[in-house]
Parts: sequence; structure tokens; C-alpha cells
Amino acid sequence: MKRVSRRAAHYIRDELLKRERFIVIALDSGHKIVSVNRSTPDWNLPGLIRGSALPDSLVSLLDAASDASEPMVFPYVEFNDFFVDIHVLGDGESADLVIHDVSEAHENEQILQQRAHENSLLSEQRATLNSELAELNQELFLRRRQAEKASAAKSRFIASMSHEFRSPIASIMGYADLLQTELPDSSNPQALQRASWHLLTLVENLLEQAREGEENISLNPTRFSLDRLAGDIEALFRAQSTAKGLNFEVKSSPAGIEIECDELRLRQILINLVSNAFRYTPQGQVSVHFIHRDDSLYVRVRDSGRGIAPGDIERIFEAFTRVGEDKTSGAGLGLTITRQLINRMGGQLKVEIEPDVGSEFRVAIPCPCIQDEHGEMPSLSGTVLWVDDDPDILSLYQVVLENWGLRVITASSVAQARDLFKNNDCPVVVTDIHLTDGNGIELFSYLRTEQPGIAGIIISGSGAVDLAPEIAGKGIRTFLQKPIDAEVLYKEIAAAFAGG
Amino acid sequence: MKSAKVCMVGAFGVGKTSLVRRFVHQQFDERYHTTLGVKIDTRIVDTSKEPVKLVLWDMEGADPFEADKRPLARIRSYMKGAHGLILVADGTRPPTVKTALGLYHDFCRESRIVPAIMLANKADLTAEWRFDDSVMPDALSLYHTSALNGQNIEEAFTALGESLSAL
Repeated sequence: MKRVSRRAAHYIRDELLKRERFIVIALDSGHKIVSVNRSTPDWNLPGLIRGSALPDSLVSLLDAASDASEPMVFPYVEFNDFFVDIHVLGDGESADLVIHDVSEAHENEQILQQRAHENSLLSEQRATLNSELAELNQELFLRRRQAEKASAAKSRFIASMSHEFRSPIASIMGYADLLQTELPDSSNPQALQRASWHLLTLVENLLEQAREGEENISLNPTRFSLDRLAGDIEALFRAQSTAKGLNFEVKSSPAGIEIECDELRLRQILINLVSNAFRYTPQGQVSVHFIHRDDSLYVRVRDSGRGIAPGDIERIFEAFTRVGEDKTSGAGLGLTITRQLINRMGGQLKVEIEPDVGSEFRVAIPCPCIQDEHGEMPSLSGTVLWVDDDPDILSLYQVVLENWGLRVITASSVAQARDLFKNNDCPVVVTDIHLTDGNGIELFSYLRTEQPGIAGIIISGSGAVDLAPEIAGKGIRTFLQKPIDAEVLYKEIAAAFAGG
Repeated sequence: MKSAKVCMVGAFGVGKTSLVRRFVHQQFDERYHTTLGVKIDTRIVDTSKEPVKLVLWDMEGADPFEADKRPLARIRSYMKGAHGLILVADGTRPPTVKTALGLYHDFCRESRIVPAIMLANKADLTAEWRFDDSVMPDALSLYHTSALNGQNIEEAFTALGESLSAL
């Protein structure tokens, strides 16, 4: 600008003054306004009057600039609804204030600043939300792992409980069977056995509920007599019908057949349905009819109880639910489990309930009829190694197998079994799966490497475990679940010795 | 009457304008309107010694991540000659504490030490509150405030007035 002529400089100044609005205030040492000059006559700011004191807000500007050696500028100061740049030019004694109206520039910049800040705030919020989401995901992950661990622990617990419960019940049932052999004319062993079945049913009900879902129910089909099943049901509830004064009728046809399905589950279904009928029938009758036809077993359980309203039919299948004003005992699991079991067995359950008349539960389960091979149990010969850590079970089956003519060597651990096997010729090995010092399947695999031709039968009380994949290809003949049906055991051992 | 220039400083969006509006005019506006530049308001507070006129410089908020450094230069020029400082942070946005303390330390490096207080604002947002009291320097009195409901605002400004009257 050094080369600009005075004329040009004056021209620029005049042009700028035409476009911009300034007020120049001269102050004395006491901050009193000495003069006010405006670049534009029509622009004024209230309170800036010659001879009056400077407003407080502007005095604070002077204080801030009092020590400054050069002019100070305070940009974008809001003053009487305008935004102004205030230039303070002081010499220690007096001061001049140059007030420049920048409202338009301020408004434009303010719009941009507002957008920028709003965007920044949104970004911060998004970052915060993302961070919270990440924390929640982490927590979710941890909780899911905890839930998985808890679920795994529950499964182990169920398997363990199943084993714990089944073993003593199996022992009771086995000894009852033995008593029956020794005391054929006494009804006491049969009563003991029926009560054991009942107890086993109740235990299984609880375990099925804990397993959560019918897909987790394992099935173990065996063959058994339909007459015997019907007779057991009749005998099991006879005392109850007498005590309540009810007519109780059990029929089955055709007579003398054997059927094949999971006997434990079927008994569970029947005991649940018949218990239910007795529970809700104060007077009148309860009847159970079995008919086997076209490879299916049809069971009809009818009572003359009070029934329930049609709208409540679905609710009777809800766990822990009691419909109506029932105050009787029971966990409220029977019908829930019954329906799950029937579904699992590929069957159907139909219910007809008429209030104040009675109820009828109809069950159909696929169940082939086996030609009756039932008869005497010819004497067997040979040596069986039986491994179980339950001494009662060992004693029981030692007696049972010896009655069949077999020599029985018992071992209560993997180590003992290995020792005994070395010194004895045992073509058939029966072992519990869970042993105190190892696993029955692994034990059998080891013994089979020692003597490849041996046959194995695995026993387990853990009903929920599907062992099929585990025993495949290991030479294991069969897997039997506690409590073991003596007839089934006999047939399996006989076949093992025969090499069938 | 003693008059004192008091600067409200802190990050943008922490509620400086709302605090002044609540303290001077007893008003509150939910809408966010960013301040560009400075607005000067006054209010007299009674102290145990004498009434003090607080000349409150409500200045634009700082954005430490902003590439344009002109706003920060403006803030520093406004702070010159301040007799007292009110540092304002948003209790729901932890980074704003650092911004306020940064401005305070800048001021202390270049000027004399003046009375200062810290306001952790938006205390009404209890669900989102993430202010950590333990990060505060001992030299600063801390107040949890709410421009929305007026919580602790009179107490905080009056306490600063007391400190200024004693000078």
C-alpha cells in the first residue's frame, strides 16, 4: 500500500465508510463520553450519549485493554441487539472506542458454527452410544457364557441325579424280583416292585421337566408283557380305589402278547394318567383299557370325576399348574410330562372332558407286537465279569446270574476289573458306565484289546445320555438302563454267550 | 460498588449461556443456540463484606478439535483482565472437563491467579451423569448445577462473589 497515492487512499476509505457502520467514541480519563461520531447518521446505539458515563459492559473492555501497548480488538461483542467489533485505542490518560457493526458477518458465521457444534454433539452422542453398545455386547457375551456354563452344570446335575436316583431304585426292584423268585406265593415282593415303579415314575417326571423339552428324552425300547403291565397298573391302584370307594377296572386285549417300546416311559405315562384320574374323582369309577392293534398300543383312561371347563383343557398341560379349586397333593407335572413323553414316542394324546360328567384321555403309541417267546429261562453257563461301584447292585446281580447257572466275577473299580480279567476267562463283561476310577466304555475298550472276542453290555443310570455314538464300533453289544428288566438282561447275556 | 469481570469458559454446548440466563434473568430455554463471540451481562450479588457487581462475560465455547483456531484466539482475548473465572463442564460429557481445565491452565500461565470455580452442569440428567469429582484440582470449588432447575446456581455465583469481594 506504500505506493498508493493519497487520492486513491482517500477513495478507498470513503468507499469503505459508505459500506460499513462505525461509531467512534472519545473518552476522558474518568470513562466519560467526550464525543460520539457515526459513520452513518441513521445508525446509533442507545446509551452512547455525549457527556454520559460509559455503560458497565464497555468499561470492562477498557479494563482489559488498560495494560495493552497496542490497540485491542474484541470481536463479536453483543451490544444492544447488535454484534460489534470493539477496538480500544488508549494512551493511559484517555481512550477512543471504535465500534464496528459486524452483525451480518456474525449471523453468517453463527449459522455455520451452530451446524458444526450440533454435528459434533451428535458425533459425541453416537460415540457414547457405540461405547455403551460395546459394553452391553460385552456384558451380553459374559452373561451368555455364564448361562451356558449354568446350563452345562444343570445338565451334569440332571445326569448325576438320574444316576443317583436310579441306582438305589434299581437295587430295590432287583431285590424285589429276587424275593419273588424265593417267595413265589407272597404278594409282598410284587407290591414292593410296583411301589418302586411308582417312585421311579415320580423321579422321572421331575427329571424330564428339568431336561426342558421332549427332544432331550432318551428312549430305551424293551420287550415286555402287556398282561403284566396291565396287571401291575391294576394292582398299583387297587388299594387307592378301595380306600376311595371307587369302581376300578383294568382290561387289556389281546391276552398273552409281548410288545416292544420303552417300558419305563409307558409306565410313566400310565401312572401319571391313572393318578390324575384318581386325584380328580371323588366318587364313581375309573377305568383303564389297553388294546393292541395294527402295531399300536391304544390306552383309554376314563373317570367320572368333576371334569374341567373346556377353556381350561390346554392349561392342564402347563407345568406346575392346577386347574380349578384343587387342593390335592402333587407337583402338577404329570400331564405336562405325559404329553412330552407321548410326543417323543411318536404317539398321540386326545382329551375329552365334560364338566361334572368325567374325563377321558386316549393315548395311541406306535408299538410293535412281538411273537411270544416268553417261556422258561434255560440254564446258562460261562463266566461274566460284572463291574459296578454299587455293592448292592453287585450282590444282587451276582445272585440273579448265579441262579441262571452263570459264574459271576464282580469288580467295584476299573483297576480291580483289569486285574480280575487277566486271571479269568470272561467272554461277557457287564459294566456300569460311571465308575469311581474311570469310565465303563473305556474299560471295555481296554479289555477288548486284551481279548478281542469278548462281548460287552453297558449299564447306566443316566437316562438323559444318548450313548449310541459313543459305543458305536467298540464291540459293545447293548446298552441297558437302570432299572434293568431281568428278562431283557437274561436274553442279552444268553445272546452274548451264543455269539448272536 | 466493586465491579468484577467474570468469564464463563468451557467447551461448547455445556450450558454457559443457560447458566447466565438462569442467574441473571431467571429463565431457561430448552433449545440449543450456540454462542459466537461474547455477551456481557451484569448482576449484583450480596456478599458478607459488600455487594459486588459481577460483569459476566458469556463467551463462545471452545472446541479443542476444531481446525479453525480463530474461536480459541477470541476466547483468549476475551479472558484478558478477568477478575474471576467460572469454568463450566457438562456432567454427562466427561471430555468437557478437560477442555474447561485446559482453558483455566492457559489463563493461569499468562495472567495472575484469580478466584475460579468449576460448575458441573446438567445435574438434572441423573441417568446420563458421568462426572468424576475426583479429577478436580483442590484449588477449584466444584458445584453440581442445573440451569434447567436452578440447582446450586445462586450458591456458586455468590461463593465466587465472596471470593472477589475479599480481594
